[in-house]
Amino acid sequence: MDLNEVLKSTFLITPELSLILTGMILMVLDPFIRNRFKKELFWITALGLLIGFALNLNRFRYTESAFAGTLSLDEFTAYFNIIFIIGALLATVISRDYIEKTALKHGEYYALILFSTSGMMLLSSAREFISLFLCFEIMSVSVYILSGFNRRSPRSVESGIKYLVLGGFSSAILLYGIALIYGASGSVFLDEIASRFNMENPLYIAGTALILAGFVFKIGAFPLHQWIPDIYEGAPMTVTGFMSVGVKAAAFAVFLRVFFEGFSTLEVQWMQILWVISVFTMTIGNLAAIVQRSIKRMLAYSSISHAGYALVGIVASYGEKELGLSSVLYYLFAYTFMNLGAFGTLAYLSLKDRECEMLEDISGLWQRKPLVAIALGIFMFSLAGIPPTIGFFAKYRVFLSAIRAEFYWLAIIGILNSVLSAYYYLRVLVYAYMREEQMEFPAPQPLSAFAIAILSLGALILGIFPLYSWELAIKAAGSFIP
Amino acid sequence: MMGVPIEHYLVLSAILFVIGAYGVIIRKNLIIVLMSLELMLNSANIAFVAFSRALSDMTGHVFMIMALTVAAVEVAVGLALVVAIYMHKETLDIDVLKMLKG
Repeated sequence: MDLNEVLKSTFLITPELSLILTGMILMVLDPFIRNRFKKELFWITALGLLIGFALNLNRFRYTESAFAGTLSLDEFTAYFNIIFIIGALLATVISRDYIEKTALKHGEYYALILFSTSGMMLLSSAREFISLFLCFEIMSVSVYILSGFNRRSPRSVESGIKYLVLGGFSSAILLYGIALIYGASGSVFLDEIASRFNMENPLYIAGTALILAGFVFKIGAFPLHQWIPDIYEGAPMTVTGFMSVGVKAAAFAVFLRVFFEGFSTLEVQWMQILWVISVFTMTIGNLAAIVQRSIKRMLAYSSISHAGYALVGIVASYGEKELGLSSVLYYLFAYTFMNLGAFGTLAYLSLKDRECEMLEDISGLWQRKPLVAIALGIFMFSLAGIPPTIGFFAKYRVFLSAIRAEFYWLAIIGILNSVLSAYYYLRVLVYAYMREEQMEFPAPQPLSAFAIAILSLGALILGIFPLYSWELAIKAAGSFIP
Repeated sequence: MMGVPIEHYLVLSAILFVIGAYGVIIRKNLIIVLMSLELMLNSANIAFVAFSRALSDMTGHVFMIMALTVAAVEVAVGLALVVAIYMHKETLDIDVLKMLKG
């Protein structure tokens, strides 16, 4: 690899570099700025993210590999990067007011969001295990710190340490799996591993199983899902929104890349395992969400069941490769809008010393803040999969692909689960619209309101006119299928 | 020339991995949990180096150095969070982490 190739590769990852550089600039600027101006660091963050977003759009025009084939920059990467940057950008917009309210620190917070997002972006393009593992950790470690970010709150710190220990545990399992695969194949490149894959060699089977366990943990699927509710509940609200969207989508991206590119020889076996996992993930997430009194914890359980719906799409891609994969990609895109919106609304309604998380905390919302109530309604309808929102279209595509691929039982169980989930999403709206108690709500925050408006309009308009974004997902899936 | 066969290294790394996993699950002290986590990550490193030598391929060594860095990062963040927990609870017993329950 000569200097020219290094320069060319560096040029190819400019979207990621713009995020990393912005994060470094923030870290350097932060100590020199007076406390009352620190919230304006947000604008630098937003600028860096917007530049990254614009540069990333170029990627829809080409497929290149960078750094001696360790990164593959194609439409699949570009599609996921759009999800990550939209998620990070809107999360930081809402964070600015939230941090101001709760008196957290601005500088490091934005820098950590940027580093974590750059890790996700590189992760979606990694096709070699060293860079994959490193990007995985760049993403995860930043999020560990973010979930423990509110040092004054014992709950936030507890969530951080729990995430670190359990996340480290899953990383160690993943690393051991990679070691076994490396020992069996002598390579860390996914395509070389695929060509040398040998079903007779137990090292391959053990390694695949360990790597599957590591990814199942990060996705938050059954049986390794118990960490999600605790960590989502304890972390600051905006961080929960960011990680429920970004980390999950990134874990799905790397999961698709590793299993479709590296371990496709074992496809029949891991598809069967995923069938079982997705059924249990949907059902357990939903059943646990029904009994929750806390909206934040309910959304955490619902994010488990949404991982289950997305897994339905992966299973369906066994028969219907293109439709199944593009429905997973579209599902993650839709999930970004509705879930970040739901957490963003709760962050908007939080007060200085009291997070808006119990059902009672939003009673009387319709009388006091009708516009916020409407936005919350759109997000809940979307999460429940009621037309004409984006959530309906995404679920329709996932279940359609399952039916086309002749996984009838999976589709039936999924649809029943989706009906069941309407109960607890609509209960939130019962409290918001039909209760009269006058709770205390915070003063209007224009920037957050703007972000929530974008998210709710996105969830509504992309649900009514889904075809453009759907074509993008098909293109991304098409570039990825070998 | 090859003194110790590769199987021995692999058995050692598997044993260390299991001891580490056992420690993370069973032990009550946060510092020991973090140490067990390190043990798990480093057992994978032993496997990498052993495979690397058996295959006469340097990739495993590179991976080991990267994984060591990651392990150091995890422990640095972990200790910072342990200090933050200690400020609140004045104990390192893992049973104090019970505030988040549904």
